[in-house]
Amino acid sequence: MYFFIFKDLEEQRQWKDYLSELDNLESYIYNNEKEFSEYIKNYDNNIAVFGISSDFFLHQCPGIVETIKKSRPLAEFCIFLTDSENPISFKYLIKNNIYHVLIKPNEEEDYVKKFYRERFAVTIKKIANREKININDYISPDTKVFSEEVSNSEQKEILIKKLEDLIKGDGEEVEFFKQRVALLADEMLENALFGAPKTDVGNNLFKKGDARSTLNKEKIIFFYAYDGKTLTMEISDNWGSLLPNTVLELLEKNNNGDEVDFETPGGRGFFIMSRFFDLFHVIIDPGKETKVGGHLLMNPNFDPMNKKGFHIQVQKN
Amino acid sequence: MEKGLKVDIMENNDHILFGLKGNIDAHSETSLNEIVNKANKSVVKFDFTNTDRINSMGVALLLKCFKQLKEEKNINIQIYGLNRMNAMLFKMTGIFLLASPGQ
Repeated sequence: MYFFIFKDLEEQRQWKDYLSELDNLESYIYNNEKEFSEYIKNYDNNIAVFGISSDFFLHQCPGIVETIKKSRPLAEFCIFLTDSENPISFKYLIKNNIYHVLIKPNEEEDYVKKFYRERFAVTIKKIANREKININDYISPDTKVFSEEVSNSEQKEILIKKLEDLIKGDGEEVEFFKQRVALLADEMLENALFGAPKTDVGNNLFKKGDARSTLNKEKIIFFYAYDGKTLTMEISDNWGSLLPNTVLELLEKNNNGDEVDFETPGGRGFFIMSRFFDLFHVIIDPGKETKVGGHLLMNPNFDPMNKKGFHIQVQKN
Repeated sequence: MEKGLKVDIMENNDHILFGLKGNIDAHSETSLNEIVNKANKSVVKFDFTNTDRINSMGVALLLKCFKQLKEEKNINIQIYGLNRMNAMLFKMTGIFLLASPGQ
């Protein structure tokens, strides 16, 4: 079940509709630490995911995750905030190993609100049930999911062309959607081909821009599907070299457009993916597999400067 | 498939204009280094009208190129012809801190 902690009644009211797709949701208005600690310690039900208001977490109770972990060590945590609130504090996410962020967009169109709300519900249910996020769950049933094994770097442009051809129609919005898809596919393929392969000491095995083929036991698979409204993509590699906190560190490093790090540009690809997808995910099975992907909705008001939610799912053996 | 960025150069008395054609990515390093070497005016204009995709490596190389022009050669950089996608990308990655959109 899901246990969501709000700073006050007003905040709880603001989120009520947005969280309405979650069954077994317990809402809690925080009063004080002693009362909360007692409540959570004696709470009978199994809680798989704790949702915590970002504003409350950052400004009133930054130690709440540690408090919860004492009695619920296996729980997952999700920070929630609206797009108009202060930026996400990646430092707190890293410190507390929080890998799920839910953003309620300041979006007026109902179909866009529905898109975000439904996809969050699908994802958080998967996380609660300790099931892998699956891109099939985010598109209309019966939509064909294509998969292509990537065996050399020359396939990048061919795959991008296939994706662009999948999107029918013309006009400015369709063109912009195609450009988003192309950029995201480019970043995903570059990351799998040149970012994931590491030496034993963690250095990159290959240099971006070089032509390369996959190694003997290396397997990269690109998945994609489009149902006419939503396009979803995911790429898997069998290096499993990415760590969850590394993803957060890379996102943090690039998060502030006023302070550009010219010298160490690493991670800009992840930052671009996290902003140009509507919802971005990374699934990590350490040492075995990394999956990077997300979903895009054709939306004329899309703006990458708006905050975006993300999920980093770590397979626990 | 042809790789690499193509650069058209147009020079007049007070500025030099570089027209960038194609994708800007890891294959564009040589072309962007040549731009730094050839920039010999106090105003340098970049025309992105015929630029296609710019990925994160392309952004890194553009930042490096613009930083060298601005800080080492004290050049005023102006940008023209950005599509919606690349304008968003420039805004979120800080490129506009080094170069301003031309009027």
